[in-house]
Amino acid sequence: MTAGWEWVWAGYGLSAVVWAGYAWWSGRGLRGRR
Amino acid sequence: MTRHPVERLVGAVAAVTAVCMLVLGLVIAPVDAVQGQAQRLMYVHVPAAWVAYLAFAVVLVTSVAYLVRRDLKWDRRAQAAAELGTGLTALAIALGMLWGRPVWGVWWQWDPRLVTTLVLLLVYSGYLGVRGLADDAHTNARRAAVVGIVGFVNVPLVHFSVVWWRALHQPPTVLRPGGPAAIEPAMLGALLTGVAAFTLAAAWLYLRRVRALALQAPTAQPLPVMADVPRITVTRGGPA
Repeated sequence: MTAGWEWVWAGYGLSAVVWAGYAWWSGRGLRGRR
Repeated sequence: MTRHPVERLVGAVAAVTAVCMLVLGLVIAPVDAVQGQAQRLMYVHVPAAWVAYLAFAVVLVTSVAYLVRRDLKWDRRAQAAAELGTGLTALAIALGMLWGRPVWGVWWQWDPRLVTTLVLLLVYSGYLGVRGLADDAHTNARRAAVVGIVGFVNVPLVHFSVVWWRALHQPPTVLRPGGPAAIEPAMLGALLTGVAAFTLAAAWLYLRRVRALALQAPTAQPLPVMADVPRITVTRGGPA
């Protein structure tokens, strides 16, 4: 069975979105503070 | 100069490692002879699951520390780890579904590994839910710590489910009982780099989240001890 790249892009893209989303969400309390 | 140099350093190393993971996983590692390109999802699916286990181990240790010390800083550390672990478990399940659809032909199967992982997600979602039930922070922390400790029992159950109940999900590739890693060296390199990248990214965000939770926490003012209270002298009959 040879599956295409579309599943790979979907998975890596989802990972990037989840990490970026968590980075944004977890840093909410830090805005304006260094 | 930044006030959080360790945090910045971990974040920078995580970013570099993530780029290495992408190059190794998408370019250098060969195409799998059986599964084709979809096998490359292993380099993000397995790290997500492993770092979730690690996060739940942190929940276990910090929950025990809270119950012993009764200091809310341990509760904040447990909370941050549980959030990361829960998010990464959900990500691992989603990535597994994206991998399963082209390779197994189905999005989901009631396979022991999949079911125990789903239970793990539900247990730690419950952990996060329990934290908001009471008004008192220590009551929430105590209840959450108990769930965090008991819930960890599920982690070895998830890991060994593919060994104990052989079903659809493949058995462990790297940490398998009774033998060395059964994987091509370039694939192993991509996988281990993925684990390193996910671990460093989680460590960076964990440090940030613990700091944010500490800033959000109400300032705990210790009760004044009697020696600090100004002495009041009362004289009978009022001022002379």
